[in-house]
Amino acid sequence: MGSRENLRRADLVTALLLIVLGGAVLWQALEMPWTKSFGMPTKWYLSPGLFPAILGVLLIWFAAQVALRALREGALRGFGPCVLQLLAGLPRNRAVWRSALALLLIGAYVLLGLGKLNYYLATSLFCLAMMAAFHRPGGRFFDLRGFGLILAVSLLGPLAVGQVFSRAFQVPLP
Amino acid sequence: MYIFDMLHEIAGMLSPVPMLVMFASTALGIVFGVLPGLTATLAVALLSTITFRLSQETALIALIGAYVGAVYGASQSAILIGIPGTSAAAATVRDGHRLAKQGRGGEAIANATFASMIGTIFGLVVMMLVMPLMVRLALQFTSIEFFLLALFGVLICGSLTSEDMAAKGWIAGILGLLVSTVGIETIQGYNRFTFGVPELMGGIEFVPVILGAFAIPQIVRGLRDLDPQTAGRLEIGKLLPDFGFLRRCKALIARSGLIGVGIGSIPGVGEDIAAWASYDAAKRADDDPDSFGQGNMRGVIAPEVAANSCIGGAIIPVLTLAVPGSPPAAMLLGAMWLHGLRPGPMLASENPEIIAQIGAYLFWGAIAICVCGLILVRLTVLALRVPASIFLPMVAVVSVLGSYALGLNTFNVMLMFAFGAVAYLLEEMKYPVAPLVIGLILGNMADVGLRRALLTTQGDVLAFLERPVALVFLGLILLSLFGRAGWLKGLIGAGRRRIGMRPRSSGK
Repeated sequence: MGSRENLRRADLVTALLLIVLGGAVLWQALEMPWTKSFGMPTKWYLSPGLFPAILGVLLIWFAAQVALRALREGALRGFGPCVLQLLAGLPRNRAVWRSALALLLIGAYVLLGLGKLNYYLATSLFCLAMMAAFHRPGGRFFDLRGFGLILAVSLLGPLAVGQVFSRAFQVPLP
Repeated sequence: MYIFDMLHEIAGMLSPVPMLVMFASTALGIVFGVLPGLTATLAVALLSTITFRLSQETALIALIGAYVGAVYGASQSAILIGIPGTSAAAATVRDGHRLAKQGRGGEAIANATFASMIGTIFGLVVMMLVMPLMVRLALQFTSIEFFLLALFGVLICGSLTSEDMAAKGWIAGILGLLVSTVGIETIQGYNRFTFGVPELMGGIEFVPVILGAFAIPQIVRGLRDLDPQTAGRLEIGKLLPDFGFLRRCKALIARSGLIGVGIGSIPGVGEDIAAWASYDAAKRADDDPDSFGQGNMRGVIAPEVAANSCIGGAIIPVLTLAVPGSPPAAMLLGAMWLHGLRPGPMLASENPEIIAQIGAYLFWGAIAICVCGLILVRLTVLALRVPASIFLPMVAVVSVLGSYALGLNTFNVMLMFAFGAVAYLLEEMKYPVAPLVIGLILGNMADVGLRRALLTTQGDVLAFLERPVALVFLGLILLSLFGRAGWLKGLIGAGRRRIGMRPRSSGK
């Protein structure tokens, strides 16, 4: 997150989302049985909704504190232009792209690779993609020695980890 | 009483297999601690997934070895390259790295190693002395106290770990408590927040959540901020501790050890805060405070003693109240549950030998960091040369397999990823992750404790005020909410400001 003003703007949006979440939790908690359980009368203090209801109220209270502080510190000042500026700068924001790429690759490995492809194939492909995307020896985009290294680690690393899990710890591989 | 049992256990551990497990896991912990981005919590979390099929004794030896090793190991990268391996070593950077630049890196590492060993043993001795009292006190706790203790734990952890507003820490804690309510609840058997997903009915497994919350943000942040030249040629120099100097630091060691144990016993507040608080206390007490930050060896000793004595402090509430004193201790608590142990007031009667055994593991962990730490220094220099773009993808693979290993289902892996992504976004907006984990661990205690307490009082909330311990907890909760825990946060904040450094926002 960039400047303090941007952080407060993000705080305001997050706090409002958390207030909605708190409201949803409270609503769901109030829908749970409070006076009857499986057709039998029961006390309110044994209700499964009691604790979530308290948490919903606390979430709304704390999120409101964050929202109020963000408002006091000028979160609404230039809110619209700032959001537009952030969106316009997104294609050039290297940090955001790198974070998104890392999350995307891990997500693809977890959701599309693991359990659907052979473990060694999925993991080697994941390691190769991850290292090829981020490993820049000496700042160069491509380096034959560097590529040889990531190829070797991508093949041998998953093999070693897989053998440790399956043989030493008796964990069947996905 | 526990001290004598512990001495017996220490002697009993002198056989090849426990020693091999202890030294190997400590060495692994040191490597985790050394590598920037890998934390003590992650080391304990990963090991708990792969050791849960082993015997309880072997698993606990491995986990405690890794815990102690990782807390210590961070000091090596802090001194050698000025990057703390974990946030617990952030205070060590300031003087440690300056000493390395002056050609005294080897001496600083050797002194830090001995300080860490002394700190671990200090924490262990205090733990053993306090334990009988804590066991007796815990037996007096009723559901009311457990509910209030859980709530206090989440709130104080939120207050003290939040770099920005305290409310952000509390929100993270509430989110953790909310996650713990998912699944079939234990009193009426009602399905809460499962939305028809059968895998959620048994509740959310905390190990994949902790793995995700601590591994994914570190991996993403590490790859995002890649520094291609992490470590160049590193000169270590002579690797000999200055025993005369360490002897002269008796008062400093005792003060730092007490700060470490005290802060460690506060729920969810870990080694990093202990290290900063003791660094600040050492600077205040020193005759030449301006020399701190210029390469004063006391600035290395104080945080290292405190960070390691914090381990014993953090384990006290784990064993007696099932309340973790720090994020790695939360993982240790989870691992104990996985092995069928029930930490809490009844632990000492159900497993009379376990407290002494854990004391013995900590003792050998302290010895192991001293031996492995000094032997491995030159190897860790090599480890520091491995680019983050090579080792972080492998950490992702181990985290994924670790999450899968627990229940042998890919749902846990998806949970790990989802919680990791959420934790990353929360951390980017300065919401701490530690209260979320503590909330998840303490959720069931708070939920069941509240309803049982109300059942015993027939719904009379005012009856909570009739119990002295409950009144103390209520006072502490109000102090956390309205006093912003200013007494401690102010001290730590003042220390950080005076030192002119901020710790990394990442986990311990």
